[in-house]
Amino acid sequence: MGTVIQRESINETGAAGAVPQAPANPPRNSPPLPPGITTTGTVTLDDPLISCRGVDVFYGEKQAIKNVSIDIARKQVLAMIGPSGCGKSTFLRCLNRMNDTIPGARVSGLIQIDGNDIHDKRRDVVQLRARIGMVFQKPNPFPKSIFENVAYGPRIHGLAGDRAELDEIVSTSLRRAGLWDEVKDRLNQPGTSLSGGQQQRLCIARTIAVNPEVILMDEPCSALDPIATARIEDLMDELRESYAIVIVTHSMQQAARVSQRTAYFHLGDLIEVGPTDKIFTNPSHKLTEDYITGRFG
Amino acid sequence: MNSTSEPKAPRPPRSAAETQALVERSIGRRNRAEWRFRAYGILAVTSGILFVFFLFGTIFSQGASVFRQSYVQLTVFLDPEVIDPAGTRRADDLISADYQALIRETLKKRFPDVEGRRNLRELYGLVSSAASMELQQAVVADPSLLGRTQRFDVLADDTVDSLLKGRTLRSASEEERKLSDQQVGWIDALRQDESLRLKFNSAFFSNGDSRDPEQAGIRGAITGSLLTLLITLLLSFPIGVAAAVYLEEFAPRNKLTDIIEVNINNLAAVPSIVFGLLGLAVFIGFFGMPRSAPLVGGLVLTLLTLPTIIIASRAALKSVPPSIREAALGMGASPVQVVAHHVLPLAMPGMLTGTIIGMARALGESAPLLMIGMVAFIVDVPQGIFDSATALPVQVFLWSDLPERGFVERTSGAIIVLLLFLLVMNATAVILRNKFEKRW
Repeated sequence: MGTVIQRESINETGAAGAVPQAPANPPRNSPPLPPGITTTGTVTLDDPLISCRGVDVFYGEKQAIKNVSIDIARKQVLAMIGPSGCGKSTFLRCLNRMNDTIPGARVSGLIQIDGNDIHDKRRDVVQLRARIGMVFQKPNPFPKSIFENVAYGPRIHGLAGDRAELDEIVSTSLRRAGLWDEVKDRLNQPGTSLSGGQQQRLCIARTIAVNPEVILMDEPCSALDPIATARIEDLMDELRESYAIVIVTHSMQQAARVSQRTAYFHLGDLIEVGPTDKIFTNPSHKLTEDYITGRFG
Repeated sequence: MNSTSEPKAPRPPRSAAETQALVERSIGRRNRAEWRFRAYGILAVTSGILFVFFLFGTIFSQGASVFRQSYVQLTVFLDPEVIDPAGTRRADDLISADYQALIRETLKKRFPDVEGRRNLRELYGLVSSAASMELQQAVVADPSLLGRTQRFDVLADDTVDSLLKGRTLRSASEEERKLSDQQVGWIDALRQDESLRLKFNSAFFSNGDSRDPEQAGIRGAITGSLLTLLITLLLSFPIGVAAAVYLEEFAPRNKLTDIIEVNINNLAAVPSIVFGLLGLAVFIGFFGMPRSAPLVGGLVLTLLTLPTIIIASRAALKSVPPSIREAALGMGASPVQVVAHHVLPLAMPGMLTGTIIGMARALGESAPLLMIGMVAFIVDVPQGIFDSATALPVQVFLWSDLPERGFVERTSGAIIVLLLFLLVMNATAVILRNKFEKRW
């Protein structure tokens, strides 16, 4: 019951901000917004890479994501913040259809990448995941060698014609992940022998080895110490030049540091989305303000 | 009762010293409880170890002697007149010759003053009836031995062996030790010139079953067991692993898979003799497979070990962290690739351990094999999976029923060999687990 009441109150307060925004800025590439959108801020963008419209996610009877619409820009970091259990990770996992693997999870609504529906029956989920890579909360390298970890993606997708090309991909990916100098002499050692921060960078190297367009990061630094976190954040700044990055984080400082746009989720609703400096300095919505000023969450 | 129901005055707050005293008292109580618990634990472990030592002690004290056996050294003149009077040198004639006569002749020469049919029979009785077989095999293998004098180590009779090993006492009556006084005298004479001695019992490992204890060996039973286990392994490992992988990684979670899961657990608890009856009805009765064959034994033991392997394999698959699956799926691996590249290699040590433990159970199983006729008296060593055979535990069961002292020793000997096999298998399982278990 609590969630329903909460949602109604959002409807009342949120309507004022959302209504002038949506029709005022008709996007070039972006599909129309469904009715009932309560999000304040700039939901739609010009020429977005990914467009989500009216996305609902159910775990059995429980609704985890309610009617979320958002556009994700190219070569930009989008940070998703919000209290625990607000559905930001669930939403992230919609983007590469990882929710398909959870029994009882049901996703509805439209998600397009470059105008193509990701739920299109004719397209294979394998193709989608090669396009949208993912880095998880806990570093999860395969219990294989460092080389094999990075080579795995190119191998299964047939990206390397011969051994030399594979070597090239592996070394480039490790360089771009800022890990090459630390591991170049021990590529045959198990990936699990690295430190936590190195493991997470190995996972990033593994992800960029298949040359994706988007990298999803689900609290990638929550298991790392501040130094390792700083390295990952620097890395994200570099990667932003080539990839769109969507990061879920519990640390508002991190969101402020690394992202250009921020989305605030609350109990399955997308409350507000907009440029990061605006969200953190001048949020339009009461709930966003309460959260970033630390009044709850 | 009354006093408790009455409203009580609020208790005055305790002083720190009072609290300390109370805690101290409770510490004593707790320490005593802890000590008691530890004592019970040590007692339980000690009694368990004692039982194991008792078991192994009795088996080894009774069975260790089986590895040495009494042999009589005979210097036999391979008389061509007796073996091949027609001079054909054909294998058939060499096989059917009267080698017993040569043995008798040799013994008579060794003890020339023995006379009379009864006495002579007693003399010949010192040597096993297997002795003539040994001569025959040597001659058939190499006919050029004819006409020469050759030394043979032939098996002594079981009663002689018993006396040498001290299981029958010299002081016992003739009736009891099954040896007459003059036979004991001959034995002493043979002992004197070292032609009767204990040496390594190769017959025990090279012979099949026999009615004569000194000739009975476990080769047939071991071969039968190995053939049966081979069938079991070839069938139950792939089927078990495939079933576990499908149920754990691919099957939807619904009523049907729940029912299947419950029934696999039930199957693991079904008494083995029931599987034996099932095998008898289905494999022999319906499909008309040969009775007593390792093939049928292997099929029945497959039914028996499948639930064990499936349960162990599923546990091994469950213990692979979901983060590995997520990582692989996130990289764009298909479900089959996730399983083949990541999950199976990590689960394999656990699956192998489960399989070896299942195999060890199958090796020690006798009840279902009784049902399908692997309990027959079979002298020949089986040559294939369709031959009649018996298995090690069934051989133990068969021998344990026989009254001769030689069989008592052989029963324990077969148990020792069986235990050694089980020990090796379980040790392999432990080593596999320790060696290939990956940490992450």
